[in-house]
Amino acid sequence: MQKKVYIIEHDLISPIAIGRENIVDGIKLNKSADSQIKRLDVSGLPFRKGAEIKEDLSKYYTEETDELKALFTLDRKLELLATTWGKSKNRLGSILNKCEPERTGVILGIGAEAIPLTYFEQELTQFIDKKLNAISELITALNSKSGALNTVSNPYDIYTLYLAEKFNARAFQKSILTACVSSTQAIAQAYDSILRGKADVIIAGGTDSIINLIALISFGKLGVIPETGTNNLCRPFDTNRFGTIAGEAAGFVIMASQDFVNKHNLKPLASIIGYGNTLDGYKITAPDQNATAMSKAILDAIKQSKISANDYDYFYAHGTGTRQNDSVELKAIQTALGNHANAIPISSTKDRHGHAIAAAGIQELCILLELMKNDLIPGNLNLQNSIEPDMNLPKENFSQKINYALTSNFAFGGINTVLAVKNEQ
Amino acid sequence: MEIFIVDSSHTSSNSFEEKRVTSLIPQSFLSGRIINDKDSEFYPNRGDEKIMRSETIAALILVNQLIQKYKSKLSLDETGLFVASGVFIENLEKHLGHIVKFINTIKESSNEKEKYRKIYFASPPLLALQTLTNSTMSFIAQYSGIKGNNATYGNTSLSGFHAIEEACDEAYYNNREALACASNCAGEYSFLVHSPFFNSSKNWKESAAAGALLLSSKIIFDSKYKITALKYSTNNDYLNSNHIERNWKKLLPDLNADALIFSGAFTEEINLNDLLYCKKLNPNSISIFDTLGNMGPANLFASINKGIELLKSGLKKIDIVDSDVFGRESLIRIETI
Repeated sequence: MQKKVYIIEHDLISPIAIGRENIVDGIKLNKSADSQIKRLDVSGLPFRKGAEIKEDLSKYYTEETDELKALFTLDRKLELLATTWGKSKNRLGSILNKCEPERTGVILGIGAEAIPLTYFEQELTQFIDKKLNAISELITALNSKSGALNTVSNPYDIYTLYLAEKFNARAFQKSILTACVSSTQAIAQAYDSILRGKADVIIAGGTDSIINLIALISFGKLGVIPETGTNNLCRPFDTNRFGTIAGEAAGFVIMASQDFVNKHNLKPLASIIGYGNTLDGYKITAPDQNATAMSKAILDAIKQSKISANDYDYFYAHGTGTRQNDSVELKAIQTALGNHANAIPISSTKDRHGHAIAAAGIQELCILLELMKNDLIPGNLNLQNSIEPDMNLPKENFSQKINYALTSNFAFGGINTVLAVKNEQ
Repeated sequence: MEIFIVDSSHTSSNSFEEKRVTSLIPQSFLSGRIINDKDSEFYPNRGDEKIMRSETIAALILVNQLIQKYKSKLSLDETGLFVASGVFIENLEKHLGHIVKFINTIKESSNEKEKYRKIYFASPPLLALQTLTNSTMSFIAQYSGIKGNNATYGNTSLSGFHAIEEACDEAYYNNREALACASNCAGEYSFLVHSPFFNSSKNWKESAAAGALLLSSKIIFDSKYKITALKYSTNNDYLNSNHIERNWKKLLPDLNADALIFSGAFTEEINLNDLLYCKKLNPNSISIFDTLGNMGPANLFASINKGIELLKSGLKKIDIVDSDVFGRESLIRIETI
């Protein structure tokens, strides 16, 4: 009989909750982080809103070195990750003491790099005046004073290195760069790694922020962020949906083998019981309208879990609120679940916390763990006119035990990753 | 674990030039780029080409050439695809130049709103796609039809090892064929990212490359070579000590290999030190640096290709080692069947 892969701890820094203990209140109160972006001047962009973490996070990483603190001001992803660690480290002490470094690994999903050019406008203009390659000169100048890490433009591995050092995790340090499924794949690979005996404990998660000029322009230009106007709420699964909310988040789950949990008499929160992970192989700019690979990812997760599709009682959808994603996603669910697709509650929470891209999967898994703990299914906050009226897309939150859930994320470029999760609480 | 190498392919840079990217670093560096064959039957269409980097196109072509040979024996819906990528900016000034241009144009202006409005409208519509971290993987899937288990790792050279390891695991544990692939962009931005990690960037050399390995746990493909060992190390002390020391000896299963191929250096000086270190482990130590420089995640793929050449010439067992910019090391042993 296949051994279990448990989740024994988790934490999240999200626009709707700083820390896991605040997640459920945020959901119950229908808190939405969709508001005017404050961290940078977006007055000239066609959209002004985003799901931004507005709290000053520096109090969570006071013990870090000055060098790292300086980096955090330029690298939001690293700051969010450091905050997640700082927020949870005291609580995690008892688990850390039980972990053997050589049997503990880290796998993180990491979002794309964003060079914070607007911080250095003056320097850039000086280089331009001298008729030099301004960006190259700027990067060189900033990094010439660096210590162990660059001031800007670091390899993507610094995030896994950071967390591996904190957890003293020496088994492996992997960075996954598959856009919106990055952290979902990190969890799937952690599941495999534990089943294959490569580690006893794995810290899996991710960090990302697209609240920066380059990312906002990039996503805006792709037409996935609705322009400022009267109807610009993020409305997953609504006939009048115009796009998603730019977001940011960091989080991790601590996954452990059944033997580790038994040996240390730990109480697991949930277990990962399967996953599906497929490629559309269709077109880089759009999902396959037939949803073939997307539905296969759902089916693969169900098949691996050895739980009947009808026994799943919640589908936590990717639901971005974009024209492209939502209808294809519902089609995939219909194909994979058959008649059960009309019965199972399906909801997305991106209308509350925005799209954290590489951290979307970990953000939503952390939320799911709290939903499971509190027997709560979130409604689709801004849904008015469902694109599939026959499907169970609740508008209101409601109380229901979640025994088994599927949670999905789909990435630009046609990557489909679905996790099957069992409530162990 | 023994995994059969069904086939291996590698595309190296075919054009090298001395580059100097900044007035702040006095010396130039040697940079290799790939000039792709536009007549290839697998060359992407013009719409896609616009948003693809050269090494992504190279990876696309070589994977499709590989797949073509084995298509009848592969179930592409189930074939795994594990990719490692280096930096994602091929031309820094071209990629972000529009922002600089507009900052400069309106530098006298105190109107921030107007400034950002202009930057927004000057930005290319497909900005996100040009630097999409999974573009190599997604384009390979789009053009080859591979739809199985997948991931893109990045972006130091260790990610090449992770792609190969995961493809081996897919073949071994799930009994499915899997493709490991790497694409390395190299160039100016890679130099700017990596050179500050070293005391000197004198005699720096790096090049764009793409590599692929088709792996299987079954011998139905008439494979002649196999992977018999995969090992790696971590370096948790890097952030505190900023210290790198070669320790490949610890990874070697034994000292019985017929040759040792090593990579990881970005400069001639470090490569020479590595050679001296490796010669103590194996007198037949070979570096791919001399001809191609550092190829990031594609290092291991180029070395495996070289190793297979050596196996074809009669050697039986080759050790291949690499080190990334943070001193994390990896070993792959290949042998004849």
